[in-house]
Amino acid sequence: MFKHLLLALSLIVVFWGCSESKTGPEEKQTKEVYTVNYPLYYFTKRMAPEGVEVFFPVPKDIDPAFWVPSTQETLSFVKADLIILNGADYAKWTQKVSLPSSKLVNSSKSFEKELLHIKSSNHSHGPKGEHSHAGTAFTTWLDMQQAIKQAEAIKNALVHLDPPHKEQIEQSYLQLKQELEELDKGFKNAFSDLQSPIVASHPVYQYFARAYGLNLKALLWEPEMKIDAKAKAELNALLAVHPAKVMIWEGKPRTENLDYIRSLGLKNIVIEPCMNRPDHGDFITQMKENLKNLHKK
Amino acid sequence: MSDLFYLLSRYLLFYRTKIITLSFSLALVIAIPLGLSLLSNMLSDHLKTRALSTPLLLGAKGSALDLSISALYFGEQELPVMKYRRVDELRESNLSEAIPVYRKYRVKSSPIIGTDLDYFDFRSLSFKEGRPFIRIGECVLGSDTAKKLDVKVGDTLISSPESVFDIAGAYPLKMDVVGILAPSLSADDLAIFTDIKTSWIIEGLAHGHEKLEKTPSAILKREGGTLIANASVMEYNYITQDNIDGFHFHGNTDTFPINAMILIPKDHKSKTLLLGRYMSDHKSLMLIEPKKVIQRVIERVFDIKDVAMSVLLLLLAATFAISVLVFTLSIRLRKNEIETLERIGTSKFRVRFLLLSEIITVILISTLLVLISILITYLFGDSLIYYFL
Repeated sequence: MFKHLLLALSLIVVFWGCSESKTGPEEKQTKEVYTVNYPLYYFTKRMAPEGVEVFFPVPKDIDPAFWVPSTQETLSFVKADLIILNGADYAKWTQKVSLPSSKLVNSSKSFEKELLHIKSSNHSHGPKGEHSHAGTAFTTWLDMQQAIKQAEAIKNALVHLDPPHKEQIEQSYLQLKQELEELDKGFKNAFSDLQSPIVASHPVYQYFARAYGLNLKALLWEPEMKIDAKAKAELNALLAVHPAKVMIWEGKPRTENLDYIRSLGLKNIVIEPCMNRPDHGDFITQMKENLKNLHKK
Repeated sequence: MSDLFYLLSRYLLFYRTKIITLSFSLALVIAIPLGLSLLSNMLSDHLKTRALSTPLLLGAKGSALDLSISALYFGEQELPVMKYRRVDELRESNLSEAIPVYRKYRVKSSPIIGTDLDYFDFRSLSFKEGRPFIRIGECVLGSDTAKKLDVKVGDTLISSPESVFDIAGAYPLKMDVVGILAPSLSADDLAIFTDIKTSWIIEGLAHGHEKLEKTPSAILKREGGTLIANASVMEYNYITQDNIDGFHFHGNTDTFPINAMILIPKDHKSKTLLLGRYMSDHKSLMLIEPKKVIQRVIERVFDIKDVAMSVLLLLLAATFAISVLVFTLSIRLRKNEIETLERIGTSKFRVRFLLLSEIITVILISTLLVLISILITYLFGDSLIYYFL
């Protein structure tokens, strides 16, 4: 009798244990979103709900526009649930790789017809060798209205990826949109009284110039480069036909460069395009910093 | 009864040639129509499975059957091409996913299928070794193709030239084998898959070459900031990490060719909208439902099968009549034997048993042979269809 009772109790415990494990919580599925530059990473991160991880694998010291991923990094993109592209021929590596089309989002598709095409000769900076900016201008996010459209494309893709969190994503988008609208207004006001021509150190301000009505021409300089005789001649030739009063740098230039530009009667302003992660802050704080620099002029 | 079985066994052994011949003849005329019926059902299922799993196919206007056979089974039909921009148009419509297919080139007898990564998920194809292609110049092989060409992951393949007489045509491209698919008993086992851009490189629509600034002798002229090369510039025929950046497309990829597009509508409403858009009066494209096209083919095959079956049934009837004649003659020839058995006191039951045993033995042997042949057809029919059809 006792043996039968013991057997029955053992069976009950065994079956109870099995059913417990069956009714335990299901493993959480994390969705992965990969982006090709920092502004898109920032917009996506702002709107991504819990359960959606956002990745931007480009190292901090490399220009994402010319970064080439390794096989492993490319495989990570391939395995992602969503891949956010900038469009405008940004990240030319995407043309040489195979990414699943069903997961691609071209964030600038909605304003594709308004993209700008440029001609440029080859130049070089950094250890990766020469590259060219010829083709389509790709710093689309520097026009804040375009940045809003890109954020909207990302928002729609996130809602499609994670429908249960639609409301949360929409809410985050509206907050981001408001901040970008404020920046847009700020840039318009900052440039409203600036009629004189502008020179930029690098050809990355095409949409910025168009959006905020700037008469801008670009050189092929780097902030950290030494301005040699050839560079000086280049600048002087440009100033002869384009009498600029302001020089926009894409990063903090060497002190000698600042002094040289000042000696020509131009004001130096740093407007960081924010292609990669900033040293401090985020995209919004960096754009606010750019605005502050403009007001200092 | 043991004496009866002794007599029976001695009789069957003596007339073994007649027994075996009759058994095989009967087995053949029964097994052939049954086997044919089973094979045609298996073929029908095989064709239908592939067609049913492909909701819609879009191609340039032409033969719906050619489009189905080429896009589903990678047949050698020459298909008219359509522009790649149709793929983007479909995707932007938000009505369906679109997977391009471009079949034009080969490696020996294996077709190279230019497509994109979504194809593997769509066909639920898994990898026995390696990984999917992720760069231009990489390829993935079906399991049978890998065996036939005797290649493994890490090897290279060279695409076959279109024609030895067309020296200005597509030139062979060396491709890295990065993956081998697990067997799927479908046309995918016999193909080589690459990114569609790789197919375009084989076609000559994209290429890579040394930077012209480094080879002044290859420069024809300069126009502003653009360098124009002369015919001496050497093009790469193997894409590596070192030269991949040099590869570029000439022209807009929207105008580049594809043969077909697999459409996966989002829902039934989207499918109806797509059918409405492309079915009637579209000048240059046609949208087909592969299951309907293949069903018509299967019905035609079954019509032919019905005719064949009618002939075989006549043959069965003739064989049956001949067997009856043989048994009747056999009984007549055994008249003296039967009389002897009756005279020595064998009962009529035992005499009849001996006579009927011959017939029963033939029936049993032929039944066994039919069952064995049907079992073999059932077990190996799929492989038979796959390899020979």
